[in-house]
Amino acid sequence: MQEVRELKNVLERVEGKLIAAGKLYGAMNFGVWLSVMLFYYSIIGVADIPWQFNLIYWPVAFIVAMGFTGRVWKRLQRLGRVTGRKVEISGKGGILIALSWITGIILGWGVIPHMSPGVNAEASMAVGFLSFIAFSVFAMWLVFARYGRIEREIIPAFLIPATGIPIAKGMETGAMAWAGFLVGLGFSLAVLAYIYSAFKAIER
Amino acid sequence: METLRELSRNHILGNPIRLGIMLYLLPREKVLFRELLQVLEVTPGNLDSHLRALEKAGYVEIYKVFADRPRTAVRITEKGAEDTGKYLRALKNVLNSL
Repeated sequence: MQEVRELKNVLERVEGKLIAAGKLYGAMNFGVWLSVMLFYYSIIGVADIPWQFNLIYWPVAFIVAMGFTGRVWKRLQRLGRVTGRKVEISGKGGILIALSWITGIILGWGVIPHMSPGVNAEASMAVGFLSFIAFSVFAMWLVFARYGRIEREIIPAFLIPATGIPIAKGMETGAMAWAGFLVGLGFSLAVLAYIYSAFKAIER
Repeated sequence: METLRELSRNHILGNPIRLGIMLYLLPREKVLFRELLQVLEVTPGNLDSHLRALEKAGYVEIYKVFADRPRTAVRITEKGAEDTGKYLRALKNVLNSL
């Protein structure tokens, strides 16, 4: 029986390490999107960049980050097959994730700023930005929960931007900086939560 | 016991070195031959024969990459990941039932 117990322990440790690897990939994924966003803020902070820069930066950044996300996703699927924590999102699930982000863009960058919910144009834009992130990440989280599993680590990435909306509405200056900070904070906490879960999986 | 039958049927993953190779490959995109040598502490000939057996079973792909010089790299296939998962689950079920 001693050998059986030892073998069981080895198997559990192997499973724990594979779960931890999956969690670290989740952290890396949020880390990439965070870097893309912080790099943008650094550029617009140090130089007076024309608005047309957004038309080049964001599509390029999106393609680069999505390429990374796609690779991470494949590895997560592979690990899920072994650990029994399947993340098999069907074609329908993939379409729903894309729809989450498209709807978020339309709402956050089109509909909401047009409705002018803030005290000025910048505040309205900040409300739109926070709504875009909160809605898109929340909808994506729901798709994960429906087709794969509940990823508790993602919760700060949509909850923190959502809670900052009422304050952003009333800010006369610095509303966009506030929105950027909240999104950065939410994503950073998601990264931390993933790393914490990875350590927990290794130590179990 | 169905799980015991499943385990005994898989002669490929029944070998601890081959199972070790699969587990090392699982979370990684590709691994160099020399890295596997260091991790598993086996001889090049031994590792090569295990990799050929895994390749023949469709569990891994062996190909050449250019690092500092042409090197042999290995990556796991979908079938390899699927069957390793099944094997580990079967092994766990058997151990839990004892």
